Amino acid sequence: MWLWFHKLSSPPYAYRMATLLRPWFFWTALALIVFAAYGGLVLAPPDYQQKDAFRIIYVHAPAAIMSLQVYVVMAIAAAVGVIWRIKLAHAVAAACAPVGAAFTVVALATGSIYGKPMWGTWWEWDPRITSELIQLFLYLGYMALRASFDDTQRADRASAILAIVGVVNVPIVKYSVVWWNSLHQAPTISKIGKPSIELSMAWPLYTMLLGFMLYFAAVLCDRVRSEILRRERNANWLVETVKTS
Amino acid sequence: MQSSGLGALVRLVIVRDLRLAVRHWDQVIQPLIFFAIITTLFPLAISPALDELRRIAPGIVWVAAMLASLLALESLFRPDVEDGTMEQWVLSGQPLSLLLLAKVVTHWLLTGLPLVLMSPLVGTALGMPQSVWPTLMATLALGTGSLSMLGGVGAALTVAVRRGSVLLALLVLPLEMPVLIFGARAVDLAMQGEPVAGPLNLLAALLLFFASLGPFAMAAAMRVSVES
Amino acid sequence: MSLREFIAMGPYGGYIWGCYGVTVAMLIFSAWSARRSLREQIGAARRRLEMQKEGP
Repeated sequence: MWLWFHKLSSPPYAYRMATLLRPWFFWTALALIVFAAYGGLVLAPPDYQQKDAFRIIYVHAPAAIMSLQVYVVMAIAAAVGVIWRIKLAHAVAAACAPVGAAFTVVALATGSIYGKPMWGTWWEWDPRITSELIQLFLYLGYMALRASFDDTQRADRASAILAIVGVVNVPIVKYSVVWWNSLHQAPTISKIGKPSIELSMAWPLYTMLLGFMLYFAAVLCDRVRSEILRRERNANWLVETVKTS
Repeated sequence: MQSSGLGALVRLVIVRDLRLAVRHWDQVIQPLIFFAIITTLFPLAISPALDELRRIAPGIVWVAAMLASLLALESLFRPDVEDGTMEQWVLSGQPLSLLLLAKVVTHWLLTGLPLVLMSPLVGTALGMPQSVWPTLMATLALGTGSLSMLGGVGAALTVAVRRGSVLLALLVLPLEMPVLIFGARAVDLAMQGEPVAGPLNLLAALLLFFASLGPFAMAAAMRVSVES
Repeated sequence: MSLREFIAMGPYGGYIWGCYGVTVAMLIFSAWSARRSLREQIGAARRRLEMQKEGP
């Protein structure tokens, strides 16, 4: 286990693995996403209450889930980087942020479009939407902090602290925003409350989520590779790798 | 012996910062003037009718307090980093988290506490009844403590960044939102004559949480910022 | 069900296709920008190595 960990954390090995795995992740993700979209748009029966509009959920919900998961991955990578001083972990954390921000934007945009036919408004200060917006600000802050240091190592460590503080704070933000509306008035989001859904409607959701995860892994492979290249400017092993790729 | 030594050190830091503040008292009152100005903007922008203002007064006071505390953060660590004091502290072998905690406490005494004391005045101007004063001051006292802690982490992260003040706001404001939510909500509840213990307890819990973890994050961030 | 009906999705066609469109656009953009920056880094590394070879 430790041996494997050490091997994986060596940049040349990780670089080769990322190059090798990326097509597998990418094409599987593409197949799953297309399959899930077909399932969600065509095969799944229209919802009893929301008619066809519920089909939006097949992209909205997985994107929202991913926006949180990517942040957790990022914070864990940052913590590993700080604790064990593994440079590769910092590279992974840096690679996570833009992808996570992209998923957050998708979740917000589709949520806003979803809101129009369901609630009759593009934007509602609903707890879920608000906390998703705050999530986007956290990603943006992380990337801004990283960009403001010239020295990669300092950028790594400073942004790692921010990511860790952020992940500690995320549940607090989340619950505070949920309680914010319910502290003195009835919660207004019972409209979107989901009853247990049937299998024919559920499977595209999980397939899409799996597709998004693999897509994230594929993009992460690319981004980690460019982070490694940026960091290992003068390493000897680069000569071989760059020539062949 | 060890603990009394640390206590003396903390006292030394606090006394030194207070003395510096007395010498540069103009810089200390600037955030307070800023606080007053922001609350003046709302009647001008929305409506001078007290009935309308009263409804949003908790929000106004809290947003203004948040921005004022943010403004004051700029000068929290910067002078010490620029004249090399901070580097000495990092190298001194004393627990950096404790020293920074002392600095944040002083900072709160100079910016948070005056805000708390000023708030009834501003609240009255916005049409808050006198019965709300205790709640308003209690929420601000607890809340500005949390703001100082979170802000201290942000300030330590950005102190080495040139023109870091916008970045500081970008980093700190999203993390501070829970404090704003509970603070403004408690005042709102008090104005409607409802019990406020819930949000006040939550604010106290947040303060304890941030005060216990904040110094370590601050120290780690300061180490990154100071070493070149 | 005709293709026209499928595309219209009742009154919700615009919203649904808009959502899927936004998602697909973002997925393509994100993957493309990652690829592009990787290509830039590989190019930069190659140039650096060539310079080193010519140099000393």
